[in-house]
Amino acid sequence: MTGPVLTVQDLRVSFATPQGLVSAVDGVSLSVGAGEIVGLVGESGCGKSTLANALLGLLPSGAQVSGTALLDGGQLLGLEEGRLGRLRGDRISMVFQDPATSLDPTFSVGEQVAETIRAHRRVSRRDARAQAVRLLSEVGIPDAARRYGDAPHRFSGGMRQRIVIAAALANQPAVLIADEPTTALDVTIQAQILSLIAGLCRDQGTAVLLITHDLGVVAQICDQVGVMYAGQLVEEAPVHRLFADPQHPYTRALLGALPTGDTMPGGLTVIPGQVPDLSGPLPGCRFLDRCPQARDECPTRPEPVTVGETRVACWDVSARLVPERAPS
Amino acid sequence: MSPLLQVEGLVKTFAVPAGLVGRRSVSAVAGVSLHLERAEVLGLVGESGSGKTTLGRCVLGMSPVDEGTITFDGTEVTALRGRRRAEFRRRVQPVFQDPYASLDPRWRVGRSIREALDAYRIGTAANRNQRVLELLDRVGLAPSYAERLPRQLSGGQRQRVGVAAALASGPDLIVADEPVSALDVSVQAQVLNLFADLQRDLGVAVLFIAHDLAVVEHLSQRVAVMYLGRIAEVGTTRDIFLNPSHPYTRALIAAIPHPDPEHRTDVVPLSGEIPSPLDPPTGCRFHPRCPLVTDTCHSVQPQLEPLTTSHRAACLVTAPSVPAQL
Repeated sequence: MTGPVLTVQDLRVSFATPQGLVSAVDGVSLSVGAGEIVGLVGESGCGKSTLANALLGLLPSGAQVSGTALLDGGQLLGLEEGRLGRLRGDRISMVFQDPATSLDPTFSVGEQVAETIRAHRRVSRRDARAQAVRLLSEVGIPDAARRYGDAPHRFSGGMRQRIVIAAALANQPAVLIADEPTTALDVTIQAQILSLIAGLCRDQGTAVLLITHDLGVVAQICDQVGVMYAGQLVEEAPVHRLFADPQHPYTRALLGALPTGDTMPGGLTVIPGQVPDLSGPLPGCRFLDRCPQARDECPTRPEPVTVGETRVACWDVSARLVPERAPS
Repeated sequence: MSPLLQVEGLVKTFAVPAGLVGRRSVSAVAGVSLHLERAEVLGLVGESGSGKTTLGRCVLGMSPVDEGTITFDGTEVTALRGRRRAEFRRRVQPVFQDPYASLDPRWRVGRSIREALDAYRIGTAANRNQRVLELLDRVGLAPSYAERLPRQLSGGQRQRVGVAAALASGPDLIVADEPVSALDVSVQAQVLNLFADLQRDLGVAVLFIAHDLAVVEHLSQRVAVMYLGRIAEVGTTRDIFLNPSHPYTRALIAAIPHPDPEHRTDVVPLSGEIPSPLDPPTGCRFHPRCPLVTDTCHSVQPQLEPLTTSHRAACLVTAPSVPAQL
């Protein structure tokens, strides 16, 4: 493999609101390679969906976007809608939480998959139909040829999400952005859908950016994971390292807040305080007010440092690294 | 001593429109028996359509039952009227997923909590405001929150106000339906810790309805697993999570995405989807999805059979009924 398929550098997104400029994504950099699944995890309002929508050109018109996002080496950000439309559904696809927002209720599911193919490929209706049937069958729609003409409402939520995945992967995109694809589904259906996404993308070499709030989902299918807090990427690591040896105080608190059978009831880690107002001036680490490790340096922004295979933006971690660097 | 709550043979049926004319009935709860001890947290788990929410509403007296009995602290409550019914409702309080559903958006938080004190005439009118502040303190909110409106609160704060309002009447049982599923994990942790405190400090029993098995395992002493209107398995939390018997319970536990990349499950634990309760399968309701299905499962409906003194499962294969010993 020759370098990443998707590279995001210093991505910033802000929105003008009556309360002032809200900085929703603040200098995020990440990359995804072919066949790799990168998780982007964080709580509500951390900017993970805004980041996804920025990459897809789906932000409202008032959004201010800066930075670079390279798909196959070409800049995605600021692309005019016509060119972006030709990329979406072809080189870069998306799956959202609610399949109802992606499927048109007035067209049959088969036509929607076939249309995705015909929008980007010169194929006959007949071939597109045959391909759509094959795709629907691959994502596990039973009796796909017979159900080709059924409207979306005739399918369950899990089946609809399978149909969205069939459409998203129809043109074998280089990148799939999946934003909470299983959040609305029951746990046994979630397991089916995650397995489907992971299986198809590994087979086709698709680069996947998986946006989720669920650390369990991250642990189960991601290779690499980034943790976002209040618009900033605070830590990025191979998934095994993140869970075995989390570096950022926020990551550690998040893992400690997960309920398990081994923690005593009442003994879950609680993060005091609340996420800061993103319209205020926030020059430093945004976790500062809630951090048990806060130091004098924290009001200025921490630069990411490398600890083993982990990149982490935290003054406390940097401070512990300094003695190793100093000549004795 | 009798259990705090005893549900026997509960059936709840809804009429649904079918086609252009006529109606069909759907059994959301199709013969459920379970009990809850004092100061116990019983987790009730199951996927969408399992009937767990309907069961909770029946226990709360919010939904009349069609068959079966609900006995609370020794009294059959499904037929209660008037003052005795009001007293039952004082002692069994709801907490919902969306606290907006239980808080009036125009009322300040203090007024919402005081409403319950007034309704049940708890304390004197003079000391009820003091009691409101005590309840806020109980759920970890400063006195100043009494003056706030629901929209001025975060999701976690609103849910804590919901719990304070439920506690106002001094209940013995809280029926909590997905109380943390709308919350972020760090906020969820606060509310779960609060439920654990209530049980420990106040001796309140909780029927904790949730789809998230990790949350249920963390908080509950016992767990009941529902599938398509029936209890598939019930036991202590250890029974259910360490020694699950019913194939559905096993699949449900295997499907939990564990936050541990060293233990990945690469097999999909369960294929297919939950069937429509309008047209439930014959015999064991799980048989179309069951990996252990036998011919008998198509026709015979399994009953909950004891595996140990604490643990029962309704499965003809893993928990066959043992003929009474002579």
